[in-house]
Amino acid sequence: MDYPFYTLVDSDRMQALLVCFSNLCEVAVSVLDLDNKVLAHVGGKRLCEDFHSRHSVCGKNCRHDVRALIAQSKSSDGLCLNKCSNGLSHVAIPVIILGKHVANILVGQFFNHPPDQETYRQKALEYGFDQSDYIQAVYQIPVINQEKMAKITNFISFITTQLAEIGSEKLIQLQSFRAQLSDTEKHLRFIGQQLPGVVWSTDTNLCYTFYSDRSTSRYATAKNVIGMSISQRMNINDPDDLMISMHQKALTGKSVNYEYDYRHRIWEIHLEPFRNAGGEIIGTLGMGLDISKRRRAEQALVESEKTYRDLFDNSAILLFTLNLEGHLTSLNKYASSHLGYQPEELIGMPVFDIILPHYHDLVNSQINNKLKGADITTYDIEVFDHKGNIRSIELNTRLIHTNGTPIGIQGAGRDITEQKRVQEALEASEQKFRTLAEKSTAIVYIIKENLFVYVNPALMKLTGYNEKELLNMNFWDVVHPDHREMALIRGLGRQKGIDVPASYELKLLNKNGNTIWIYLSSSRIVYDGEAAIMGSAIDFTELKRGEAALHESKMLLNHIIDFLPDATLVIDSYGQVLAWNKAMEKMTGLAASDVLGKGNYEYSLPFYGERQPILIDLVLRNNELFQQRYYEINRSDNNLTGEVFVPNFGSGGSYLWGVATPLYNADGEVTGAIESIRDVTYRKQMEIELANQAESLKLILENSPAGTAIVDNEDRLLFLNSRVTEIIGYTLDDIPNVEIWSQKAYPDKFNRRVVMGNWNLQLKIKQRARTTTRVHCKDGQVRDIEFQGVMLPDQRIIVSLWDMTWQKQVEESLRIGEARFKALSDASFEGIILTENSICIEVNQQAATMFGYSIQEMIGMNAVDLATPESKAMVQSYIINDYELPYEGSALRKDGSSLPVAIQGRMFEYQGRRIRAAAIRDLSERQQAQAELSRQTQNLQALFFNSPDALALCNNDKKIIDINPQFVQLFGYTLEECRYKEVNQIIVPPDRMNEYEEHRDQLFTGLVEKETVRKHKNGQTFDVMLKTVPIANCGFYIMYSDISTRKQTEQIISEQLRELEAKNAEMERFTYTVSHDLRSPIITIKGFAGLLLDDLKGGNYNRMDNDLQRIINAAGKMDDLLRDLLELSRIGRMLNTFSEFPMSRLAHEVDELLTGSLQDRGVELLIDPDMPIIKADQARIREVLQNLVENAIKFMGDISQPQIHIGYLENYGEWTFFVRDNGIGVDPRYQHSIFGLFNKLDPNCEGTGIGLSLVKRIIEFHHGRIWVESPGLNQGSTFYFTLPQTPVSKHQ
Amino acid sequence: MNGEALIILLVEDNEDHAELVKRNFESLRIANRIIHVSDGEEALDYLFRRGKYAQAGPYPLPNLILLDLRLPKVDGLSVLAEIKESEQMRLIPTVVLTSSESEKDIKSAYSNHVNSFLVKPIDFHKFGRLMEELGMYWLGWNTNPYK
Repeated sequence: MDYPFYTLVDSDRMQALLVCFSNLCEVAVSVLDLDNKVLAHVGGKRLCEDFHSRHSVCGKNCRHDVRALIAQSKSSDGLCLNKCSNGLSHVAIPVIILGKHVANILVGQFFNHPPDQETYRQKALEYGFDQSDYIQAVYQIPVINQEKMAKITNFISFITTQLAEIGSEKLIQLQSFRAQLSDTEKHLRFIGQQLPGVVWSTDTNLCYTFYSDRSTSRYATAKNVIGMSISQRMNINDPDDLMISMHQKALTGKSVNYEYDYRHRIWEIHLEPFRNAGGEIIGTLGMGLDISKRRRAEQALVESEKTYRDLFDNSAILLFTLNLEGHLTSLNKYASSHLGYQPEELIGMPVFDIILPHYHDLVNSQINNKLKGADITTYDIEVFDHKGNIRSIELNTRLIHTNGTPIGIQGAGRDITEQKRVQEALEASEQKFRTLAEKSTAIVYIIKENLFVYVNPALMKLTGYNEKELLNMNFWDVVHPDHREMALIRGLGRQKGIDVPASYELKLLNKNGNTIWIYLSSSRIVYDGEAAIMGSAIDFTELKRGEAALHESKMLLNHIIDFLPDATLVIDSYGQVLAWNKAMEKMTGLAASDVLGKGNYEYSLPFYGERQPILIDLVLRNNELFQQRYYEINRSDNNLTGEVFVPNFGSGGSYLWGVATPLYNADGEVTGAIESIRDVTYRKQMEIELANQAESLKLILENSPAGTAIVDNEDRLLFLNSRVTEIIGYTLDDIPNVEIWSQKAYPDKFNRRVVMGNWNLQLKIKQRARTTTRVHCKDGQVRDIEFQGVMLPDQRIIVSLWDMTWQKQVEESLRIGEARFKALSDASFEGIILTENSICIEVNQQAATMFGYSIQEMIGMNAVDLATPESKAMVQSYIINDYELPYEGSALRKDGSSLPVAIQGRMFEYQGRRIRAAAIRDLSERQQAQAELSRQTQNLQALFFNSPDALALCNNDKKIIDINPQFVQLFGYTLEECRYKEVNQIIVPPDRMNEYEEHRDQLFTGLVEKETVRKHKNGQTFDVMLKTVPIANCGFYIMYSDISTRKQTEQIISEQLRELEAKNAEMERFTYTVSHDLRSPIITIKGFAGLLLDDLKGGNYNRMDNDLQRIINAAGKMDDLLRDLLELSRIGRMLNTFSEFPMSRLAHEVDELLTGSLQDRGVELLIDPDMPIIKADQARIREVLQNLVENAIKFMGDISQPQIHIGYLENYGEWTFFVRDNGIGVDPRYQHSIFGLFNKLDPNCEGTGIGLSLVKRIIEFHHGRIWVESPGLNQGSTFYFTLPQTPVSKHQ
Repeated sequence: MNGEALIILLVEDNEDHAELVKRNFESLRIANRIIHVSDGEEALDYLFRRGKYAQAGPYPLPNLILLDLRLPKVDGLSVLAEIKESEQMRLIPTVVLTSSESEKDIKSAYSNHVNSFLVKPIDFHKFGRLMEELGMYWLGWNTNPYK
């Protein structure tokens, strides 16, 4: 067996040794095993480690060289030396243990002789190493000569030999251990194989170290098991699995036994901890036995025992065992519970304690019988149950033996207590029955299989046969031949259990041949344990006879009823129809056969279609609900008469009259009822008609506009309508008869007599009377009443009366009215014409005037002739049709002229005549007015339409109802788009809404006039002037004038005004400045002149020169000033046109102009070469440049290299030119003011101070700007001015 | 009036005019000395001892300031304003002496609390008389806070 080298050698020690060695000799040392695995490596040199081995190509070479060396050493088993491709030397020394080459020691990475630098430099270049670094590393490699080498190798060899020897010893030891182990294993295996079941051992990680399964001789596969863990092998994933936990328990030093379910087998497992020689637990030992079969058997046994136990306990049989002394040794559950004892109570108890003493002997004898050899004994006993009740038990007992010796008695018992009771009861009842049957007067018999088995004395008496005779007869032998068949069928059927009538009549034949009627009841019974029939019967022969007679009389009755002329029906107390006669059949169409015997109001069906009580029922029983149907119901004694309308009977319903009465039996009990019905429809109808007529009459009389009274033939007042009472105040109560009436109405006797006499006479002669009299009414008033009376055929008198007072009053009012009317009509402004049948019967003055006739002329004219031909037809039609609405037409005057009129007519009755009154109005004025209005409207319309301003007409709701074309144009909306919208919905821009809201309310009340903004349909806003004009109650007009242009103009004007103001202001300043500055030299002149004079006077001549000079100078200044001013003012009237020219040319011109000055001061003038072409007033711009340059020269100061630079910048649509100098600069404070007129910063310098102002004006005229920038004093200054790239000039 | 010469600060840019004033004041009975500066800046520098007058030197405060309005560098009205703003300087009577008759200037000057406003007459004689009376009034009659 190969042992790896490292197991044989203490690697730590070896490593330490090698390190020391390496340090000493400065060589690299490595130990490699046979697989070239490096076991140790010390002292590696930089050259190799960091350079060669890291380089891909180089490193590969290194490794190759090493492998070659090893191979070499392997094959030679001796020391080998080689040089690697990098020029380094390596030595390999084999390690041999027990003749086996197990490893190699390599010593290397050194030179034999000093290296050649150049070579290595080349190498560095070749491999891309850093030259200097590499060379440095090279020099780190030790140089070991041959001699030294030899010494080293010797030493190494020695060491290796030592190591080898140590290794050898160890190896030998190991090998002997192995052998021992192998033997022990073999022993164990052998033992294991003998053991039943499975045997195994594990290490502390629960991996199998041994496994033997004898049961199935699977030892062959045990080898696969070794090394696996238990969980792996048994496929256990649950860490709490019993197997694992038990093993772990064993590992703690405990022996464990447990059962384990595995692969459907039950294993009994025993585990022991496996200890080594030192007593340490190094694993577990386990044994497992398959106990499945045994378990199964056990389980089956248990179950069968259980089954038996259950059976034993729960059977409904008392099971018990006794010992030979008669003590209960076991008792099943049923027994104990049935008897009510607890098992403990009975077990061990002598059984006699619960057996009734009466039976003790029996029990004993039975036991003895059994002992004597009887097998099973059966007998009954009685026992006490727990409560002390006696129970009968039927016992089956037998002896139980063991080995042939009786040891006890086993018994099964059945509780027959109930059974016994029943039996006893049965016997008792049988006895009772017998007694009863014997004594009864009714017949009692029992038939079994058609034979009498019992007959009581009554039967014997009835049939005349004796008991013996009867008991031998079939039952049908006593039955009358007529009924024999029926009896047979019934009897047999009953026996069989077929459903047959339980009771019925039967005709018997007795011994003497007489017929006997019995009524029998029979039923099936069990007699002596067999099916039999028991019956009882009574003799009702007598009854039968009576019945027949009854039947006969009944028939007779029915006959009588049947032929009664009125429809008649009879019911019994149950409501069943007993009789339904022919007349009934005829009336209802229902045949008797269909209704007889039926109850449940069958008889009401033909009448009502429904089952319900009718009169016949009501006579028996009160029924409020149905009683109400009868509009006439009378009850007298027991009779009930009623009339009813049956809607569904007959065509259109019928009136039926019925009379019903109850029927009684001899005892006075109600047995039924009888009713007769008569159709009285016709009579009823007549009655109703009559009643209606009377009713109608009453109504007529009641509602008569005239007072109506009815007097009968005995002068009694039968009726007064309310009108009468209204007129005269009396009611029927007041004047019940004519006599009283006449007294009340005509208190004066004489008058009375006359009136009444007259009245009565008239009636008598012509059956009519009429009179008008003054009547004294109830309220005391006397009224004129007209009476008219008519005598009726039945001698009654109908009297009508009218209050003439009213009439008379009316006549009077009418008369007055007429007079008034006349007055009115005359006063009316309108013409009034009254026509009758189109003829004028009355006209008023206005009508006459209107038509040009006189009143008299018009009366009698046809109204139609008063209309012009165009209107004739219309007028005629309206008159004829009583048209009452106003209409217009054309009236024809007498002179033939026409007149527009409005007519309205109305028909009324007057004195029985149909009169039409028409009012006629002259419309000419109105028409004129209308024409005028329409003309005005048209004018207005035209105005509206043609107005140059936009107009909108709004109604009361502020909604636009009309707009003019200008509105359309101004705002872009058509009328349709605007209509019914409020202006704020369409033309008020959002920002003006508030303003609109404010003046909205004024729209109706006042004039709104304001400038505001409105918006076009396209959203564009513009200024408008709006004016509103309310129209009384109709709305208002709004007028819009577009003031945008005006506004623009205003704006321009205001701008111009501002400009003008500015100019004015400037002008003022200018003027002021001028006057001031002109004055100044004048003051000087005058002043010094004065002084001169004084001096001259005084003879002082010393200051004369000076003063004169001052004067001259001052004058000169004035002159200069004036000239410059002139120049300045000319700028405003500049007429020079713009031309295009390059700025550079201008600059060069200026340069020429000022050559002198420039040279004097020694100023260098620089001009930018590529300055743009500008369009401007060339002369003026030249002046600007000249001025600026002059200033620059002037204000150069003391600088040694004075320089002026003219250049330009470009800037957003304008050119910015500059003149820069390096002179004295401008104080920042004054950089604005220097452009002011006459502003000089240095009062002593030349110039009028106008220069820059002029320049400014010129530049501004060109719409440019000018300014100066100077960092400060003596730092030069730059004057900038701008000119627009596209020049704008008024003069272009 | 005591023996010392009264000092007048004349702020005038026009040399000729300054000369006129000086000549006229020479013949005044009151002893006086005129210090002449040619522009507003210098005037203020003198008064407030700034600029070239910052060093120690014989720069006595004047008893009267005659101020022209149209001055280079710093305008007369600005000088006036500054003088009158200064607690110390405002005690010195300041009289504007100018050729300008602009109402605006007059109003501005008075708004700035000028003590008097005089317009230089063109007529020589008048000018002379003005000078005389000016001197008499302001140096003679008028009481100065300093005295």
